[in-house]
Formats: sequence, structure tokens, C-alpha cells
Amino acid sequence: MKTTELSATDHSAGRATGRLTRLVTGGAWWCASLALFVGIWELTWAVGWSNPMLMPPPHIFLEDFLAQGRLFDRATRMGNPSAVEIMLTVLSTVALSMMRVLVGLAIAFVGSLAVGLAMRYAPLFAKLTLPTVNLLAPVSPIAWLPVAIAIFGIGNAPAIFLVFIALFFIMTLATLSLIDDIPLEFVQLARIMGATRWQIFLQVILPAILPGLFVVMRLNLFAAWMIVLIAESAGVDSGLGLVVMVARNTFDAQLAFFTMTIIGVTGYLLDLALRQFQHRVLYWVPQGDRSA
Amino acid sequence: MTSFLKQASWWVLSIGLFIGLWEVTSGLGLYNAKILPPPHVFLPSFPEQAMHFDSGAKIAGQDQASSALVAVLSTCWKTITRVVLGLASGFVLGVLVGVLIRYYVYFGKLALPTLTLLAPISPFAWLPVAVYLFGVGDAPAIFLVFIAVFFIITLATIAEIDRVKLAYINVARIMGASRLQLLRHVIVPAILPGLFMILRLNLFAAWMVVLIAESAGADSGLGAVVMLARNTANNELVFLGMIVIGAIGFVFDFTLRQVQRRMLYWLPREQAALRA
Repeated sequence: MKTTELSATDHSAGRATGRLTRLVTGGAWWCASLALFVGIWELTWAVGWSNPMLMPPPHIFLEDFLAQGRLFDRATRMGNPSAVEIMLTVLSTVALSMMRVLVGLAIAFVGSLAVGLAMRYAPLFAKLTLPTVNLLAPVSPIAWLPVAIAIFGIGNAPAIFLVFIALFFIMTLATLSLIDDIPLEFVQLARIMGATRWQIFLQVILPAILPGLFVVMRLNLFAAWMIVLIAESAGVDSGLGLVVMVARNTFDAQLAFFTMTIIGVTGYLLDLALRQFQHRVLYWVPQGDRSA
Repeated sequence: MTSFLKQASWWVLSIGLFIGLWEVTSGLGLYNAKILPPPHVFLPSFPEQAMHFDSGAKIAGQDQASSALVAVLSTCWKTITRVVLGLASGFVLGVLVGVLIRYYVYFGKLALPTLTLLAPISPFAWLPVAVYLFGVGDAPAIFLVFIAVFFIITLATIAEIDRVKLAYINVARIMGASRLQLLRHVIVPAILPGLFMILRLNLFAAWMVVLIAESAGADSGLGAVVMLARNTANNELVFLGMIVIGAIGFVFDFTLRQVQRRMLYWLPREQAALRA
């Protein structure tokens, strides 16, 4: 792996063709891997080892796209919706779930950054709030679920609140440890050069902690993505989480696997998007240090 | 000693402030005390609420006074064993598969793309599958925790192996280490610290998954209690459940941190602590 990379950078002339062949062989291995996985699954079905009612193979749950897609929202479940309507239903369901994750994520990111900085800038505030934050952090978001519904009722708010809860405490603690990890020399140097507190904050502390904070956020995106599905299954009448619950309650295995596919693809895209965003925003971090 | 006392008094003050605000706002009637009961209401009700933790006592109403604590502890114990079994199997198998993928090139090329595609599927979406496959009981909960941990640990193992300094491996090779020795003395010690950190970060997710699985696929455990509290709109039980769940989560994280410190004795202290 490493040697091929080295030789590729040595010969800049052959770089373009080298990259192309690598892309093609990589793609071929992806196809082979997926084909093997799907093939084994299909084979167990064809031989009759797995019950198609419980573990339907991909060609069964994917071919009936429209029949599964119409179950995604109440509006299209009845009547005779057109294919376009069904596609729109699926897309809008995904978009709704995604919107809830992103709004919760954004609020938690800004909130935890603000609270973490306030704690380090005002020691008294830290002494008063940090123990409580430490105690609230390990309370699982699912335990907050009844509280979220009791406070916000049913709709977007409890789902966004739960995403916020899932991220806020962890990211506040992460902000603190990141600030503590900043080498003292950075701050001292800035002071010697006559920087004000505000300048130190903007030009030393913020650039130093943002990369780590992004990594923490990406690692916890997984938890946020899960909690939004839970919230939707319990407190909202739309979204992917609700579809999962419908699949479970009606024992519709095809719908369950179809939804899994969609959730997997969406989760993958979300992670990819966040990684790209990280690349763009954190232009001052060297390429190699960006990954988690 | 004085610094410890000072620290403790700040803790008491902080929590006192939090509870005080809660009590005052509810005392002023800013919100419905039925929906958000203040601590002095839900804490004393613990003995009578504790019977909800045990499905046997819920129906029969046996001598509750003596069995209240037993019911709570046995419920917690069930949940904890499920998390630990799922975490342990997910961690061990994840590391194993990760190492196999890097040691056997063709296995890696065939398995890695599929694993990469399966990894972002949220464990919650696996829930119906877990229930179809394993029915109701311990197995689906353990399976879901396993799913939540396995893919992440596998991908993390691969990333960590790729990050082992080439110089370490070269030195070991020059000194004539076999592949197995290389694995045991160079690669495993080099990747374990990073993996433990990832495991600790995902403990949170695992702890959440087990509660979900219990609320949907098992008729016992803390998750079932949370769902019972939600479905019966019993908010005193909700907050008691939160306290128990928070306390166990805290103990879990603390224990894993201690295990990490003991097991990773070859690391300097500061590095062993969680940086992220």
C-alpha cells in the first residue's frame, strides 16, 4: 500500500495513468466484494436455508421499490400514487430526518463551543457548571426521550432536542480538554507579541481546537444519526425512524431491509459530506492530520 | 486533602444550584410539576416506583419493601451483562477481522468494501432484523450492541494498523521477527491504545443501543423500564430511570478508563488519557 503510493509520486509523468488504473482495479474489487456478499445471501435463499419472509434477498426487496416507497409516508400509503409521487415521498422522508440531524448538530456545535469557552474564560462559571455537566453527560439520550416528549410534545422539536442532548455534553467536555491541550507556548507567544484576549481567542485558541472538535463531532455523528431515528419512531409522525418502526410492527421484512439500505446510504453520504466540509473549513491543518 | 475538600464543595454547590433552580422554577409554577416533577417529589417515591423495574412484582405485588432494591439491581444487572457481552464480542471479533484483512490481501480486498458499506447502517435500522432473527430476549440486545461496535472497531483496527510507523516494522523484520511475532510484539501494542479510545467513545452508543433493544425486543432491563415510564406517562419513573442510567453510564466509563490505564502500562500517563 505505502510503497505503491511512494512510487506513484516519484514518477509524475505516469501519475495520471497510475491513478486511473488504481481507480479501475479499486472499483473492480468493490464490485467483486459486493457481488460475493449479495451472492452468498441470494444463494442461501435459492437453496432454501433462509426464510424469504424473514431474510428476503436483495433482488426481492429492491425490485419492489415503489411498493416499499409508498409506505414511507401516510399521504401515499392509501390510494394510487404515481411513481414520481412515491419517489418524492422517499426523498422528503430522508430530507426530513437529515434536516433534524443537521439542525441539532449545528446547535450543539455552537452551544458546546460557547459553553466550553465560557467555562475556561470565567473560572467561577466553570466551577459552578462543570460538575453538573459531568453528571448529565453519561445519561443516555434515550432516557431523555420521555422528557423531550413531555416538554416539546410531538413534532420536529423533540427530535432536534435529542440530537442536541446526544452531542452537547460530550462536545462541551471535548472543548475543555482541547483547550487544555493547547501548548502554553502558543498563548505566551501571542501575549508577548501584544495580542489582546479577543485576538488570542480568535487567532490562537479557535484555530487550535477546531480540528479536534470536528473529529469529535464526526465520531458522534453516528450517535446523533441513531438518536434521531429513535426520536422519530417515538415522538414524530414522519421520518426514517418511523418507517423502521412500521416495518417492525407489521413484520414487513422487505420494508425493513429496504429502509436499512436507505439509512446506510444516507449515513455514508452524511459522513462524506462532513468530511468534505471539514477539509474546506480547516484549510490550515496538514492533509495527513485530518482523519480521525 | 484541602484541595479535595474544595473540589467536593464545588461539586456540591454546582449540583445544589442545578437542583435549586429546578425546585424554584417548579415552586413558582413556571411549568407543570406533573410533567417535570422536581427532585423532592420523585426521589422519595423511589421505593414504590422500584416495583416497576421487575415484571414479576408489577403483577403479583409481592412484599415490595424488601424486593425493591433487588428488583432494581437485577434489572441493572441484566442490562449490564448484555452491554458487556456485546462489547466484548464486538471488540474481539472486530480486531480479529481487521487484522485478517491487513494480513491476507485477498480477504481484505473482498471483505473491506462490503464492511465499509454496512458500517454506516445505524444499529437502530438493524432492530427489526435482530428481532426477526433472534426473537425476543437477550440475544437481539446483544446482537445490536455487537453490530454497533463491530464495524467501527474493524475499520478503526485497519486505520490504526496503517498508521503503525514503518520503521517499527522494519526494525522488527531486520531483527528476524516472524509474522506472528511482528503481530504480537509490534502491531498489537501499537494499535491497542487507539482502539481503546475508540471503544470508550463508542461505549456511549453501545449503552444507547442496548436500551433501544430492550425497549423493543426484550421484556426486561432498563430500556423496558424507560418505555414503560413513557407509555404510562409516569414521569417520576422517567427521572428515576434517568438517574440510574446516568449513574451506570458514569461507572462504566470510569471502569473502562481504569482498565485502559492498567492494560496499556507501556504508555506514558498523559497519553493514556482520552485526548479527544
